[in-house]
Amino acid sequence: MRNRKDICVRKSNKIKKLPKLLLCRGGNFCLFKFATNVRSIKPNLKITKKAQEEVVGFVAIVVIVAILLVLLLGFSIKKPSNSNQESKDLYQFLESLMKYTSQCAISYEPDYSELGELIKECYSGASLCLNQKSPCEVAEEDIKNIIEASFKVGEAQGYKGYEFKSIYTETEDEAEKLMKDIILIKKGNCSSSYIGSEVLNPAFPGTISSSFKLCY
Amino acid sequence: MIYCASFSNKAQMKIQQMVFVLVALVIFFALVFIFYIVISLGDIKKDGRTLRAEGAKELLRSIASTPEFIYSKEDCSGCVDKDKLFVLKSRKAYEGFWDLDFLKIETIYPPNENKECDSSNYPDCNSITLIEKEEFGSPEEVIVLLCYWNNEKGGYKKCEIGKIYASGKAIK
Repeated sequence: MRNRKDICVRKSNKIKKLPKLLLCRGGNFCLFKFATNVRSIKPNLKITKKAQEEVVGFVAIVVIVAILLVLLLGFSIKKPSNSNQESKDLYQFLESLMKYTSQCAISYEPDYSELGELIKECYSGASLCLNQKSPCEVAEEDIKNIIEASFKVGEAQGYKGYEFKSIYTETEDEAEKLMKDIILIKKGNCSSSYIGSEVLNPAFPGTISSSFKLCY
Repeated sequence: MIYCASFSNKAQMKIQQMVFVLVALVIFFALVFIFYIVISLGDIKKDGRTLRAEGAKELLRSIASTPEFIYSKEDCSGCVDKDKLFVLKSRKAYEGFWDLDFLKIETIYPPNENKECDSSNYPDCNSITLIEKEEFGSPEEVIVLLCYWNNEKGGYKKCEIGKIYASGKAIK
């Protein structure tokens, strides 16, 4: 038969020691590794399963290591991503934006309104600038221009898009909440990760919250 | 008397196969692990750079809040006094006051002609450079509000959007 090797041993006084001898030095011809065919050896050849146990131990170690690695990978993938972050830079930008001196004077020149005040005027809708422009129009134009002068936004630029939003919020009681959009300026793709911030301005009886997101 | 035993290599081959598969598995997972470690190290380096940049920006904000910079006529946190900076530019006593290689303040909105401020064009100018050494690397920047007294129409406080740029050993 193929792949078969016959080992013949001469019975002598030392025959009883043969299995141990082969186990110690045996290499490929170690009798204990061929347990299936060893039955044909006659007589008195003892079979141990030590090598098989070692292989089983090795398999167990490999399986444990594999499981540990899979768990480690799983944890690292599940680690919460901090893709949407508050940004100190953008907070400072929003604060500066709210205090920017516009070209709209409501009562007299040169009492030009800050952008934060213009957003309030835009919400109340009660007055116009002295140059007959609407406060909403002036505010929107200035905010858009300032954002585009401050950040590089576009498909080929650092940021893919931005979103500026001013909302008036009034809590009448704990259950009811009145919300009204004042200004919304959007550009580009803002569906994935972003950095952003928000500032609040009092506008009795509610508050105006202005938020800005830069998407990347 | 001679005893004969007949052996097959089949089982041996199978064990060898299994050992090879196991070794291959170990190598595969080791490679995956190394890949993971490399990516993690990359993230750590990126975090380090971000932290350094954040630190530099924080330092710039603190420079903007110093008495030499801040607009103090009324409560305006984060406002920089453009008039003060223009005066500072010509004060030789402030040379070497900030341990920096580059310090510049620029108006970004409303857009102005790109002109360095001097006594002939102030305040209709775009930038005030306080420090500019020969090699200053790439500067960090923060957005600030630049306020000054505008003498037109009887005089009023005007605030514009600007940026402070700075670089130097203290910023890195």
